[in-house]
Amino acid sequence: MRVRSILAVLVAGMLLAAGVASAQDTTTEPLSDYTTTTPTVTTPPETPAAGVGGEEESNSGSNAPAVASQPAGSAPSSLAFTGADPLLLIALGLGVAGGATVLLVRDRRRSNTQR
Amino acid sequence: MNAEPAPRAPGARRRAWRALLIAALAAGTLLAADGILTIVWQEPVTAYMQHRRQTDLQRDLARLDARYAQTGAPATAVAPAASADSAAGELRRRTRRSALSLLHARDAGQALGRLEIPAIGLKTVMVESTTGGALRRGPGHYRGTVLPGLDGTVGIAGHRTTYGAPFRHVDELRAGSRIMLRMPYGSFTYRVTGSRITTPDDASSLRSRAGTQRLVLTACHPLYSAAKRIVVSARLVSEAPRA
Repeated sequence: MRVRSILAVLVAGMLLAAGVASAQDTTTEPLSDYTTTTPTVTTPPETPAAGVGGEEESNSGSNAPAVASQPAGSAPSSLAFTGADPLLLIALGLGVAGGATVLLVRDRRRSNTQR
Repeated sequence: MNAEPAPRAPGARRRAWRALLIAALAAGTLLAADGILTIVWQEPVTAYMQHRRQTDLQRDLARLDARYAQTGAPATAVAPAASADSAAGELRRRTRRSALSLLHARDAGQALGRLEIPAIGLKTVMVESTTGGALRRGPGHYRGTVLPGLDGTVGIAGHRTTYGAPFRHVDELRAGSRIMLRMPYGSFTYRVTGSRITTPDDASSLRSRAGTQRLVLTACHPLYSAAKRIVVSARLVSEAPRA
């Protein structure tokens, strides 16, 4: 009976996690109508650099403005932190679940021997 | 009389102990499941939180759109006899004015525009600033970089595994991939020119270069780590001022 209860809790936990996951929808409805725009002003497309790693671009435009809109030195000094470490979560979760399982089994055995 | 409570106390303790163990087992299983989901999909709890915040941001952006539609709309068009060049120049000037007006008008975490990258199925509302709180709401615009329509570099950062993971597949972008920024004052299309891996303190890619209108997307790299940063660069190929 207790094993069934444990299994039920486990299944409920998994279903909860799956439910939260499936509730997500990464697509969102468009907010506003951008279809009524004025005639498109198109700049001549540049030939893209060759694949990944070819990021550096030449900026030799003879008609380029002398000063960019961004003041020199105002750019950020570092790139934003946007990461996470799920492996830590997994290790922590498995550790807690494994430890709890071992203690539960030991407790069950002890109660059986006492009977 | 006194013998009856004695067996109950150990039984109650044992029940409490087992309940605690079962709770720990459930919590551990949930944690592990969360980590596995983060690897195969994205972190579900923060994704749910970000999804709700995006709903708020859509309303915020709708208000901003409406405001620009009323006050920031271009005046009547250039005289019909004017050349196409002067008309285009006028449109560019209006776009520049609108971009400048928006550049310092938004607080951290407020909606700024819509970011769309068809190649990785991304369609989301981006916000002002790249603080931790702002990035929990959506991709954030680096303060100190320009907005679309201005000469210089537009910098945007986004999460890769948590809070909706908008930039999870940013490493799959290849040269030529389209990136659209739909601002309240117009739509801007960029083409990816390349990407590179760098250190977190190397922000050189965000510096503006005179005469160019670039877009730079940054995210942590590799996936599940924050050791480095991936930087995707793109160049403006077209702009459509909003009517």
